[in-house]
Amino acid sequence: MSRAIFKNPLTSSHLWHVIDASGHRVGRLATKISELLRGKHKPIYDRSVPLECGDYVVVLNAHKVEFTGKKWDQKMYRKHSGYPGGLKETLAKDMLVENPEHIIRHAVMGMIPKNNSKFYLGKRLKIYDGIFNPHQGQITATPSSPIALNIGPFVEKQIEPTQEQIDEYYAGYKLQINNDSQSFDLLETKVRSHKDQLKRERRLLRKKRVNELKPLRSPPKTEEIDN
Amino acid sequence: MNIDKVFKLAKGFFGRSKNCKSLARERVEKGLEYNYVSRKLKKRDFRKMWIERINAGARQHEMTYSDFQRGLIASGVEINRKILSELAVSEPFSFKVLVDHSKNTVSNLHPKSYIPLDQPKN
Repeated sequence: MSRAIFKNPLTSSHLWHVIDASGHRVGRLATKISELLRGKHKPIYDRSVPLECGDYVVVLNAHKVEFTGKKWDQKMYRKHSGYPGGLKETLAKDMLVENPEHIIRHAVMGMIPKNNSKFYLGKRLKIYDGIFNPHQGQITATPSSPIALNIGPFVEKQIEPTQEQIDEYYAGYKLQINNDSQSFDLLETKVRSHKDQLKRERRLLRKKRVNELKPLRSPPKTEEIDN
Repeated sequence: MNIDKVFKLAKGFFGRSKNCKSLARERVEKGLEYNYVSRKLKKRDFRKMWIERINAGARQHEMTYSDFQRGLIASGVEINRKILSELAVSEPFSFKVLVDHSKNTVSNLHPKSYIPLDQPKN
């Protein structure tokens, strides 16, 4: 059954996924892209035929990706020519100006398995700086599928905590602080002891749950599957 | 091992490994060793592939493999991974029924646990 799947033209045609990289974090975006390139989002995924079930990925607006923290100023892209002293280092902010495609490609290629298929999977990753998609003709010619994952710009997740969650957030850390060194020392001691207590409780809970992971043979439910 | 049997097993080998007695004996013994080991590895590789396919099928319905399996086990559905992966590939609607059933079961369990919600956690 494994190989006969790909003789069906519906399953053997490769999909095209269009991704707008505006605002996306590089690493999080690269994990999604590497899965699409390998085809791990499909139930017909088979690791022994990596080129059959993978898809094409088009990334637009490559210069609008984001790094968290201070990576623009600290992350370095290195390559070596092989001659003595041939190491070349480029900061991430300079790489964004010189070659913005390389930032995403470098992240994705690091997440693809290092075998003979790496080169061919990398060729299916098309990265462009800007909004124009030169593969639109191929995309319209490909049969559409609900599995095709077209990602838009990054949207920050909205967190709206309830009042109960806000109250719970400070549980265990309600301490009276006075402006003298003795109280600060006591404060530090209390915080550390509280963390140790939490660690102990978690360890006990983990030990308890080792036995808990066995499935329960509860009496048969009336909502069994009817087919 | 008998040399005629060695040459019979070495048919199709590369270069002198199929003609020269000393090389063929060595390659045949190594090949049989690989054969033995791969019979053990094949079982793991297929199970891994089944899990990957079940995971891909379940994620189409916003469910991870871990929760999916937990729901099936807790509700007593004893379909093995091989059949589940076949359902995910060739019968997606039957697979969806199983995913929905597993979702209903998991919603009645404690998180990451097989204990029902109406029973105390500890």
